[in-house]
Amino acid sequence: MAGIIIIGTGHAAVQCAASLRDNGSSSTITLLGGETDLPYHRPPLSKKYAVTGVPEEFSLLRAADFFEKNNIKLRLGKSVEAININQRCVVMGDSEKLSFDQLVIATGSQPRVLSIPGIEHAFSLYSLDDARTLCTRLGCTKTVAVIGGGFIGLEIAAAVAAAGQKVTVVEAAPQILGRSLTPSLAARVRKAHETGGLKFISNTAVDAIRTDGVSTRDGFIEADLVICGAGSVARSELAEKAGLTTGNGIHVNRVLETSVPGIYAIGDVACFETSTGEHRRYESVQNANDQARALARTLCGERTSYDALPWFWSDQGSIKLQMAGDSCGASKVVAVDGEKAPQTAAFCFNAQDHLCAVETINWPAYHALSRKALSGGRVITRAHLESADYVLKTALKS
Amino acid sequence: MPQICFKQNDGSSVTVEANAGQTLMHEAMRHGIVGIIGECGGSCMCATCHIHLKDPGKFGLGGISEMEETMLELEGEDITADSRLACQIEITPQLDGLIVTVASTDD
Repeated sequence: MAGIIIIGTGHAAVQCAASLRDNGSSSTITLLGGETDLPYHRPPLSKKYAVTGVPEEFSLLRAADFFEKNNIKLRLGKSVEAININQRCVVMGDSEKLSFDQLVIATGSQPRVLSIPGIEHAFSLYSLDDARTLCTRLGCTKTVAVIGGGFIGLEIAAAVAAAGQKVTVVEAAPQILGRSLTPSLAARVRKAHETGGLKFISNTAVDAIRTDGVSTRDGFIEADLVICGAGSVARSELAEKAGLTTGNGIHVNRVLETSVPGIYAIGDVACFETSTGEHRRYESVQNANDQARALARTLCGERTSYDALPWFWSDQGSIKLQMAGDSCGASKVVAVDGEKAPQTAAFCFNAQDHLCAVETINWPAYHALSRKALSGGRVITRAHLESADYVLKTALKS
Repeated sequence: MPQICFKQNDGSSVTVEANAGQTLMHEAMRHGIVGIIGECGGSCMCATCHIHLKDPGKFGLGGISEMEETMLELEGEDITADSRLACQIEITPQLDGLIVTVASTDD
């Protein structure tokens, strides 16, 4: 038996291997990844390590001896060059061929590279090694420009500003967090960051990047260092070259299988079919872990559709953003302010006036309750929430 | 370094030398304590580092935060009055001798 090959060593890949063993799989399991560090938690890179440095004992996904103990072959520093569907094997950088019975592609996503002149002068953050380099560079800078006002851009910007540097965030769209957050909440986040010392220039595209700053149509912004945080793209090249169906990630069905039987994709790279027949690709820890667990069950003989509630978080200095559900396609939003600004909860409703997502700023209790409210097939209407004055605890009891 | 004893679900115990300043979750994971997953990396977004603590007051540990309590209520199984999330507990020299029982889970 050739066993199961998992391409990737991130959250989805490691959880899949662990869940396969938890479910009693006795297959040979091999993890292949280009990085040389033991599998680690990625969220601290932008939220912390890029500024504080990477500690010697960085957060591992599993203890160092986990893989050996569980008979999981972990091959680090091994890049896959190609997937050969007909021969059911992967080809490594040194031309070594490894056969598989089932293949799991968990290659994740990587920072989008903007096509701007001088982009080679900008830093982006993908790996632990990038965080090490960035931290070293930040040691000799005073002013920083961040291109992109999305989650990663703002996490880095907030962390760098907290360390006492002057930070300007340049966003091409009219507002920050445009693709990920309800406008009223995004405005509150921006205001809180401005109070904290961040400077924003929105509705402005960067025309060129130089070693001393970025130029826009409205003028030149001086910066000792330019960091690019303009979203991520799925790392789906291997799948594309092999002829799998792709397009904003690798297309998979409800059991996370690609267009080729026996080949699966999970995590950031997977564009999966939801229970309502739409295709979604999420970049989150929750999505990676939950898809990994669902797939492990399928590979162990219990065919399992992926149908977990999406949730996400972003720590930006003193701002904690937490999201439950999918606000994409929400037709009405009701924002409720908490006691201390910027504390807010935004309730998102679909066309049927059913609650479909809740986004919160600095309100963890509401986030936890909203995850409860949105799971288990429960339907909560706008009328019901209104009658409870948007107090979730009350709404959930009645 | 404080010594902390973890009681795992299979009945076995592991005593580790823990680094002050780290969280209980981080140290448990580093030593491969079974049942401590730490899926969200310590952001209090999941409850996969659920533990039970006896006499937390004796070791100078403060009370549970609202954030931690609601996350436990949401995701935790085997919840009791002494339930905590290991990611929310920072290790201090005072914790020497602490006994931690890993909460039982289905998966």
